[in-house]
Amino acid sequence: MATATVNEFDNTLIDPAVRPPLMTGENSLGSITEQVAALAERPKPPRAWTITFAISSSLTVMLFALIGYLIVTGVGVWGNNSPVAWGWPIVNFVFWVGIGHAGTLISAILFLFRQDWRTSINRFAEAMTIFAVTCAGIFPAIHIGRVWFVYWLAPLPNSLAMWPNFRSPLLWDVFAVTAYATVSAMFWYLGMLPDLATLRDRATSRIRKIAYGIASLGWTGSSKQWRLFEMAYLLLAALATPLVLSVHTIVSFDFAVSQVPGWHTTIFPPYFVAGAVFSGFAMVITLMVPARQFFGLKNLVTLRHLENMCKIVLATGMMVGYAYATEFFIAWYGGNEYEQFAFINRALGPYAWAYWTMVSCNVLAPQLFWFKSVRTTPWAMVVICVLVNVGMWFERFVITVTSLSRDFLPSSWGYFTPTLVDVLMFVGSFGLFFTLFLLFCRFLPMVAMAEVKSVLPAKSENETVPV
Amino acid sequence: MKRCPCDCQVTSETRKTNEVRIQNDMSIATPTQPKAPPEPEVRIGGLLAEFTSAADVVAAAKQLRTAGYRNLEVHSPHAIHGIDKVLGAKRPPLPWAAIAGGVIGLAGGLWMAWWMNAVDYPLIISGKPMFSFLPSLPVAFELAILLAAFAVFGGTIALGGLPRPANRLFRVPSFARATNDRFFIAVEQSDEAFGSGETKHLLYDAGSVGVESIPIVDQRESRLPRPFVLTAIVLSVLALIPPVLIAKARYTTSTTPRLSFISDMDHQPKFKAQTTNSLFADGRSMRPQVAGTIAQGDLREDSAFYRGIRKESGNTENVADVDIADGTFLISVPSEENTPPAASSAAAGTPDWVTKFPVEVDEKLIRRGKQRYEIYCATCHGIGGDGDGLVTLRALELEQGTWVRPTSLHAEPIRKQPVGQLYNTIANGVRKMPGYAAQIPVKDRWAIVSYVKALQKTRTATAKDVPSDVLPNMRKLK
Ligand code: HEC
Repeated sequence: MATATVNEFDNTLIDPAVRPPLMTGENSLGSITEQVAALAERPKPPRAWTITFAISSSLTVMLFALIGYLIVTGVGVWGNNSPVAWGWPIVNFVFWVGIGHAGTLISAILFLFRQDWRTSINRFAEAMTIFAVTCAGIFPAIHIGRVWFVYWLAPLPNSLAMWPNFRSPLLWDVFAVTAYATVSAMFWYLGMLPDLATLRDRATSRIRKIAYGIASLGWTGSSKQWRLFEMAYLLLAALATPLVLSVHTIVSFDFAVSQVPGWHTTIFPPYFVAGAVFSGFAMVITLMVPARQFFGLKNLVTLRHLENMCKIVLATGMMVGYAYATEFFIAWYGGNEYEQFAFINRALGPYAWAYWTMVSCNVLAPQLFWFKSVRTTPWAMVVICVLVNVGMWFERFVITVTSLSRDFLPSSWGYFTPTLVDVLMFVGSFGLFFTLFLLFCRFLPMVAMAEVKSVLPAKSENETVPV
Repeated sequence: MKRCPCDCQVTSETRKTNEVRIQNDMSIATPTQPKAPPEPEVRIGGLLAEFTSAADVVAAAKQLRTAGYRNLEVHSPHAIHGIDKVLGAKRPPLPWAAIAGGVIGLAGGLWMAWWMNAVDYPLIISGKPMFSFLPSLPVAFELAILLAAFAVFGGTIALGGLPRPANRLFRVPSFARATNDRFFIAVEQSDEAFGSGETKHLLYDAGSVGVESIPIVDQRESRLPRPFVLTAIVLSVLALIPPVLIAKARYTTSTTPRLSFISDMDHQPKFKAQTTNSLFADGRSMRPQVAGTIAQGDLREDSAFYRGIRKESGNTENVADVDIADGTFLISVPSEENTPPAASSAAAGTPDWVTKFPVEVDEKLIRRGKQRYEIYCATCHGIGGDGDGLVTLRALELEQGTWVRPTSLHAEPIRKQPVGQLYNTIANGVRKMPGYAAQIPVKDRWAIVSYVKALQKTRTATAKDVPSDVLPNMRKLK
């Protein structure tokens, strides 16, 4: 049904008597397959896709060239130097990991809460998660300096007869991020199996038949497979939920377990998790709005989906704002002069510009979501969400750099300046992210067809099956 | 309700046939051509009925179950709730797999933290306990989740019979819609209640919009294509090469230096010892010590301890030692190349050797001395000190004439030597014997001296020398 071109139906109105439909327009099993699968089957991608892909893939090439340069030359090509030994690479790492939280959250937590509206956006968000975690993983890996020893991070028997230190948060981080990436990928792939089978069964060319045939593992949609699928999905959701919370908790331990004033606080785990969800949802909206526009998915990803996500952004944004306030309160209330200095220095010191950018983007900008008109205007959302992600990057910058640049020893204070390589690598990581994302949009089912089908309103009364 | 398009009569005889041979599907579907040439008989693997909605397929499955069919499978584009009950399917045991994975991950994580950091390579971190529960928990937790997820994922794949690239259902063209918008019931030919004609009727009665037979696929046809198999074989053989090479390198010896792909810090732009350097006027890379200073640990004031010579005695000139006299160089002079001190001792007068150990002698020290002696001295002097060490024996066998047989440590003059002199022999060597100051730290030299003394005693001691309380148990001593 080509309802997407018709005036958008507003399903954001709240009438307590009627459940607003999850999708708009007239959808049937076949129309959903047709609509979603067709996107992955176009012989030629749309022009916008080609252009963005050309840009993002060049940036990816640049990223890998810079990584090569870094490996050959050494980490001195970055601005990291005493006292700020953790510069942009770690900021970027935390930034990307944070973004990678929305996908699993949407898939797992909303699934456990039986929020059926998630079915239209979960595939998209999960893909985003995996690509963001990929970008995140690159930074600490190259940050270790001698990349060829990256396997030292793992507890592998080696000729030094040494093992990693299990009391170090950095080691926990390795485990957390690897586990998260692996579980998210499994979750994503398992959820995609039925849809890959759909693409296989519709494939016309031999290459596509073989490729999707291998990828779909011979899925036939038998009730036995569905039975396993549903249970596995539930279990993976139940496993991924504590996992997603633990990952950013552990990332925050990287900071909180140290002694540096401004890092050494117990509020970090919840504060980081809220921030991660905040930035992740902002990223989903930023990507979703243009995607639903370009790919004609407005009937599946409705305004109500966007509005719901805006509400989550607003809620988590306020949690983040609350955390900022609490940090200051505890600095004063705790009576630790080093901590007090660290926070006064954050707000008024040489990095005040970064601090206030962060506050205005993360705390003030989302307040606009109190207005329904903003929550239902796609371009406004995108603007706010881009600001949110700018703010979240600055949050990590503020935490990492202000604390390190002025710690206990005034004689070693310094001011951090990034190098061109720092900046280009960060830009390049966006290139990688978008490259992967565009490939996903081109070749994989962008919407979880099978899941959407299962929440389609039944055609008639006798369609619903008594359980 | 659609009726079966044919008018055929199904007799109960066909019902229980296990090997069903029926006419080709086409001939049943088009009975209007009674004079059609007889089609070759085809064995079928079962029947596949198509339905348009989830409700229909559930209703039909119910009917078939009541009719006694047990080998049914429903295929649908999305999960149908309630179908498991209709098909009488059991809950898959995935939760148990998850629990097992979780427990293994948790236990494995804790075990790793304990064994690796507290047992195999005890790692002291700011004086914290070697193992404690809380800091080990994050890794154990992540592993628990990871392994549980692996178990669930692997279980789903394995129990779902995946991957299964070849499936005879795929040979039925209409089945392509099973992942799109149609619902199917597949009845296996092996089902007790199966009778091709009869089952077909039943399926049409139950609301199917089309029933087709599932072909039996020749085993050979469902095999993997040959190029796949060949590539897989070639790849796995190639994949074996690196581990084999590594294994070979590990278990064989080689005279060439090891391969190092990444030179790490092997080559550094810095000046090494014994090289020239244009930065300094004297052209040397190594810098002399600043006049009037002493490097840390080099102030060896305790003469008895460091040289085995009593301090009061001024007669020390002929004992080669660390020399800082002129403040320009700090080199320990190997005695071999200098005038052997003992040889010239008659001329210069004997140094005032210490006769009492400047260190406390206890069993521990002697044991340490024994161990060091066996490492450093026994090669020449022999385990028993008789001058019959392996190197000596070998040298004598070669009969080159240059080898001076090491003095027996049990020789009368050696037995009479004061401890200070023995110490000096170890540190600076004597005549043909090189000094061991570079290899053996001061404390260990004294340990060796104590052991040599003990060793000498073994030849001369009598039962009277042994303390009376030890004597009865002597044989048992190790
Ligand atoms: C490389 C073989 C070698 C090793 C190893 C060696 N020695 Fe000797 N040692 C000799 C030789 C040869 C002589 C006799 C030198 C001579 O007469 O020219 C000798 C002589 C001696 C003497 C007699 C010195 C004297 O005043 O006549 C003593 C005592 C002695 N060694 C103790 C030791 C001790 C203790 C060690 C272990 C730290 C040791 N040696 C290691 C070769 C060795």
